[in-house]
Amino acid sequence: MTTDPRPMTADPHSEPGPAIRRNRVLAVLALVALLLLPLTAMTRQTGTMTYYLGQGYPPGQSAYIMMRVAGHLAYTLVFLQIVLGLLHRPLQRALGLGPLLSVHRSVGLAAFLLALSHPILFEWARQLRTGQSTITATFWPPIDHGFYELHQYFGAMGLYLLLIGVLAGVYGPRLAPKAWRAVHAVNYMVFFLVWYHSLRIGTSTRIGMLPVLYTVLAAVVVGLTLQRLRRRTGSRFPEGLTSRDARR
Amino acid sequence: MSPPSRYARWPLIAVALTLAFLFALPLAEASRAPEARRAWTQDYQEVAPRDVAQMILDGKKVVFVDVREPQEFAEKHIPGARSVPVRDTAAVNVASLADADLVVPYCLKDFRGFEGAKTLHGLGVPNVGLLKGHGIKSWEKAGLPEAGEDLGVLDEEALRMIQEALDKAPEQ
Repeated sequence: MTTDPRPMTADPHSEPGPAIRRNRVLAVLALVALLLLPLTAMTRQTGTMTYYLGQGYPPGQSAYIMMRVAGHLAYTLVFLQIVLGLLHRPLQRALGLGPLLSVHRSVGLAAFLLALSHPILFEWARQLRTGQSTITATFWPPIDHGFYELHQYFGAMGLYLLLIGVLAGVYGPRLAPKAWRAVHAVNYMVFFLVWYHSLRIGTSTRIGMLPVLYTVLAAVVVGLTLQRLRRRTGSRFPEGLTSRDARR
Repeated sequence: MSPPSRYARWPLIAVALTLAFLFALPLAEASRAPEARRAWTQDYQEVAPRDVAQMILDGKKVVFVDVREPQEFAEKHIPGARSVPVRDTAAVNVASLADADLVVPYCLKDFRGFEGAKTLHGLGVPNVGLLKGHGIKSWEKAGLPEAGEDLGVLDEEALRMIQEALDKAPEQ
């Protein structure tokens, strides 16, 4: 077994070198671009948000617009927390920061809160518009009512699985390692359910370059997951050995 | 277990501020006076589905723009409607709508419908309106006929069905 001579965590009090400073600037730029690109594309269709400070729209329209913003941000944060989970050690080294696993956890919680606000705002928009409650249809959409409701259902399933994934992350240390890892892995399913939900019925997910951006994010998650699986398999069974060899 | 990072708080602070922003506008909207909630009708007409149907029968040029996804349009739509997903409304041929007596973008509850109406209005399309009662649901509720893949045009058959629906007592 080889050991990595580099420290697992950088001393957060030491002065960062030029490479680390550059990495930090790049990371902040990437994060800002990732969060703002979808919102910029959305304003191409809706106009600027300042329009909704006025009164020239029917009841519920502002809640509907904010629901779309929440959806974009929640999707980006689900992506970010998966990347932080898979790459927290390399990122710690590259950015010269302390342990990032706790950041991964808080990003997961933030993603859940934004994902939860998405249907809450949608339900609020519907109630303001129609004066009627549609809570059941919002939080448990019927799958046999057509294209829109079916793809709403995928989003709802993503939300409930995200809750399970977040709880597994928070209470993970109290569970057996294998059990919590298996439960926490639902976050990958969450990502792809939300990806599919947003690309099929997301109103602004197909504007301009957004389908490309969203597909690239999905490809990054697939690539990093495969790399992690390969590395884990490789460390258990060194080159030339199989699981049968390992048992002897 | 590693100690928590001093950066772990940041995502939660950022999301708290974001949620405050996301809920502030709808809160302000919900607290508006009832007359202020009708201010949007200064720029857009609000027409009852049965009145629109009567306009069609009277020979007026009414153009329905279905701003939902093409798959939703294929399931059901208002007869004669054009399928233009809301993200593509800015690319519609404005000249083809210039002589319309009424242009009605719609979706399920007219959230996307209003965004489409806003875009068309901004492009200079005159007589943009929304269905009273909101979207295709209000058309259904008024007992007016819907088209699937097979009845996409406003032909004699569709006009006959609209007439029959109007002849019946209005839905309560």
